[in-house]
Amino acid sequence: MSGEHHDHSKTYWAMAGILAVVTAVEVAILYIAIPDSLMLTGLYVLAAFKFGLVVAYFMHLKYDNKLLTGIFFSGFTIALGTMVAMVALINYQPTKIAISVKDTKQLQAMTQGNPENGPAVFSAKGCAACHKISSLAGAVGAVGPALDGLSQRPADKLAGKDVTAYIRESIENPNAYVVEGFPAGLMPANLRQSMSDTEYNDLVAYLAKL
Amino acid sequence: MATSADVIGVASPAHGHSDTDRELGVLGPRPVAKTGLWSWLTTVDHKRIGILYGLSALFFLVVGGVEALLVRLQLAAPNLSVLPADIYNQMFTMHATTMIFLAIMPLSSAFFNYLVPLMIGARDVAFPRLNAFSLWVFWAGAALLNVSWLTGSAPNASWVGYANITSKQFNPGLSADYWVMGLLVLGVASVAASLNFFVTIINMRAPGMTLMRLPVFVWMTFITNILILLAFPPITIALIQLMMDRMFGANFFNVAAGGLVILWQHWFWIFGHPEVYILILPAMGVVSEILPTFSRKPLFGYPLIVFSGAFIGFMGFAVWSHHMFTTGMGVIATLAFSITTSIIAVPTGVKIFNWIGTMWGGHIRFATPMLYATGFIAMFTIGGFSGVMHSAAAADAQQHDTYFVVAHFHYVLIGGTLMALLGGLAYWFPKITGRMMNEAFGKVAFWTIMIGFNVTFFPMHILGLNGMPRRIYTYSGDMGWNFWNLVCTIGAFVLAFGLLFFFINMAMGLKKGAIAGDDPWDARTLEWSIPSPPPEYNFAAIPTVTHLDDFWHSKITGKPKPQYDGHPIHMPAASYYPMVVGIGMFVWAMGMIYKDAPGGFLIAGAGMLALIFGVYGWALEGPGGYHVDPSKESGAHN
Amino acid sequence: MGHAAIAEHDQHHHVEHSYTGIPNKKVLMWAFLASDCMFFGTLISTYIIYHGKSLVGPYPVEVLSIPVTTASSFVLLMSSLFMALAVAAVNRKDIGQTRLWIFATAFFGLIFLGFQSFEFTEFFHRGVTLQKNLFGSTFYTMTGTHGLHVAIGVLWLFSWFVYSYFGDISDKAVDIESTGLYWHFVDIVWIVIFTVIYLVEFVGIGG
Repeated sequence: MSGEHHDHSKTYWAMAGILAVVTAVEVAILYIAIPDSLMLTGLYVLAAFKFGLVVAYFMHLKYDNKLLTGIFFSGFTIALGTMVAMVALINYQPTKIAISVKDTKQLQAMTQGNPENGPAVFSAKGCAACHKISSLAGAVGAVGPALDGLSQRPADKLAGKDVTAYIRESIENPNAYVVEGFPAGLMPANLRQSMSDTEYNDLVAYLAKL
Repeated sequence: MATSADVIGVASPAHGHSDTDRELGVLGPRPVAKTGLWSWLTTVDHKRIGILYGLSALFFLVVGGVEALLVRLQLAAPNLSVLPADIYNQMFTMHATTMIFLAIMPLSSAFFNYLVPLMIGARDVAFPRLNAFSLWVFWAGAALLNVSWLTGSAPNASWVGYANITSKQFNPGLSADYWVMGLLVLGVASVAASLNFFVTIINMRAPGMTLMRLPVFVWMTFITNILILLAFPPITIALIQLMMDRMFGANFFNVAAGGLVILWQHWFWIFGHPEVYILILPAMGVVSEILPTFSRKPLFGYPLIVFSGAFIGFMGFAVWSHHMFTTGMGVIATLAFSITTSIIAVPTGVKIFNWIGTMWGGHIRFATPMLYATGFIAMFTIGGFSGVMHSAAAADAQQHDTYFVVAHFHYVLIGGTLMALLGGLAYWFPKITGRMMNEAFGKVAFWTIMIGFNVTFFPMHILGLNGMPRRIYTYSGDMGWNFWNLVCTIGAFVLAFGLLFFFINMAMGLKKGAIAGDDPWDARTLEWSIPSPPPEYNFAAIPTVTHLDDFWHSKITGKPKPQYDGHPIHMPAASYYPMVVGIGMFVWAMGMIYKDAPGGFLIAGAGMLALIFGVYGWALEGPGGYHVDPSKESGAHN
Repeated sequence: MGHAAIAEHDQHHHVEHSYTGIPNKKVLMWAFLASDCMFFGTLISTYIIYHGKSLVGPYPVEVLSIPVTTASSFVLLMSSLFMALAVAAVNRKDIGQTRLWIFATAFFGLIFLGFQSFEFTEFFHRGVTLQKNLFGSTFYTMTGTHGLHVAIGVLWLFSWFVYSYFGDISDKAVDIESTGLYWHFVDIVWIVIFTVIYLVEFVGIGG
């Protein structure tokens, strides 16, 4: 036995009174015009207070062997910690990988070519043999579709498609979109691999302005 | 274990010690058999319960082992179909579930039961009938899980049972229901047993057995049971949530209603990670008993080992998400769990150095138990290294769900836990049976196990790094995995033969082993101070403890043995009710699984009634008891 | 079902020594309650995690009733007082008072369960079911588990009440105290639920 057999009945009645009052206060707080953060703090503090009163007096921990307090609060602490961590892990986890503004700009710089260098690449890689561009000397081929007004094409045919993305996709995967009246599978699939990143970006920038 | 005890009083409502007169004996007489089947089924003796746990665990070790061999046969070569794919899923799921819950945990439990009271100088556990209850509920859970084979719907969603592979939509049939109810029932058994050992270690110690004089095995038992108490509730709730989903149409893991499947993973691993320490800490305790005995030196750094164990236990609750690095928890969470996981390697390393320090400069005898203990250190270290590799989240993303992970946890669980527990069996076999196992054959068994184990699992590291995923049914021949898979399968059979040798050695030792005597190993802890096998009351006179390793100390200083004071010893009476409650729980769970079949709810109700009847019978019969006089029993004086 | 454990009678008349001086049953009960913290913690945090994630109504703010729950919380708090008085009485070996307060505790427990079945019925009629949305699943599972704990406590207390007419409870102080610890714990879990689930729901709404 704990050796503590004082009769605490009077204390119990007093504690019950306090508990009842605190419960009333908790409910009353809801109806007072105070900031939410203050209200939340108040509610949690009062709940903890009630919790503490019941554990200390009704459950006798105040008078009992300290070992029992240790046992209970070890479990309670690990439970509380785990649960707070769980709520945080699930409710506050970032759902997207955040890329800073600086990163985005660098990314753009890396993929933005110089359109003035485009014609040279166009001719050097042999595009001109198959595709006609009115404004470019030597680009007279008719195997593939003419590229005049290329920048308008996705807008006409693929609503919402970005021009640059359309061009890139069409070069990297020539059969992605085949213009009507032209056979699929003629355009070399390894064009992208035949040029450097700079050349490729320059070419795309040039084509996007046609 | 049959004793020739002179039974002075046998419990019944009408007679016995005057204290029992007040018990309400309205529910019939209590079991009084001292030998035979009924005496074992109604026993409340911690030693008998320990033996029953041990035999059950070894039985399920064989069952889980056969399941593993079938899995290995299926994977021996590419494109095999030794098993149909759905049976294969059931096979690897049940292999893991059986090994973890029905083999390793109860084998540890067998040691807790048998040894803890003996090591702390007690006559029984704090609640003998609760102990029997745990055993019966464990049997109920084990039966539930394995009965499912007969219905062709064994659990099939792997031991982690990730949502929503277990949802009704994607897993119709009863597989997941058997799994849920089986694990729920097993959880009850584990928690009940843990409460019992927790109280036993706190309250039943012999005078002078302060906390810092407890054998390390008892310390590790204590920590393990705290882990069980705190880790099983989350999985119990998760299983209840899954049960509500499957049986009553709730939405906990239903994505269509906004449920989060990731929640299951969290609950599972909040349980699952402490669970791996629940599996390894008892083994560390066993090794910490074997090493000093066979090194003939005190354990090096006793307080460090104890506090490291406690720290591992505590940190075990702060690392669970390292099983989930690939789920996209976000940078901060991943970093935090990466750090805590790295930290946990420190106390583990401290223990390994302490064990090596114990052997260092010792007068080492390489008897069979010592071989297992040293084998444990080596294998566990390898498993620990591959484990700490996973704490680096980036590396883990590569290794996640590959055979590398399979290799890692088998090194820890077989090379670590099983190795230590087999060593423990070899070490305490003389105490439990009174006879020795054959040393030469024991060494053959050890080396066969050691070689078979490494041949099986080391190549899995290579397979994993080459990208072979876990749990796959088969693979194509051009992946470069053929050779090592074949090696693994061959190794598995060698390992199986090693275990077979071990069992044969146990059977032979039981039949015709040399008589062991009280203290065959020149050991250190209290259980060796009493006869082998111990009498049912353990200690004729409760020892007074003055030192760490008190028995060893008394052998050196010649401290006189405690003398029996002539008072008859009160023993708790056997009881039918733990069995009634266990069976009731089994029937209830079966009824729940078949609740949609005609009469299902009736069966569940009947089971619940039996359970309630058992609880009331238990409460009203009281602990009861009878008295034994050691002075009238041969061999009791020591 | 671990509660079967708790029904086990103490062996105090045979356990000659307890190393710490604390009765075994009390250590057992406190350890069980420590474990139960994790149990209810899991339930309550599931509710919090899923709060606001229901795809369809009814939503908690539409159905939870502060006046009703305040009344039932008060009843449970008072039952805790009676339980404490019962334990004090049995320690004085005052059988009559013990019997009275145990009965009062169980009776108030029953009233609480009455409130809860009223609440469940009411919610059900307003469309909150286990299957309807995440709120229904989490709310019923959590408060249902708590209610089951209360029901087991009521059964346990009534068992003591009946037992007191047939057996001697004057030497069962430790057993009754353990029942009491269980009962108080059910009460403190409700203190948490009342705040986290009921009161906090209405913060920022202004009554």
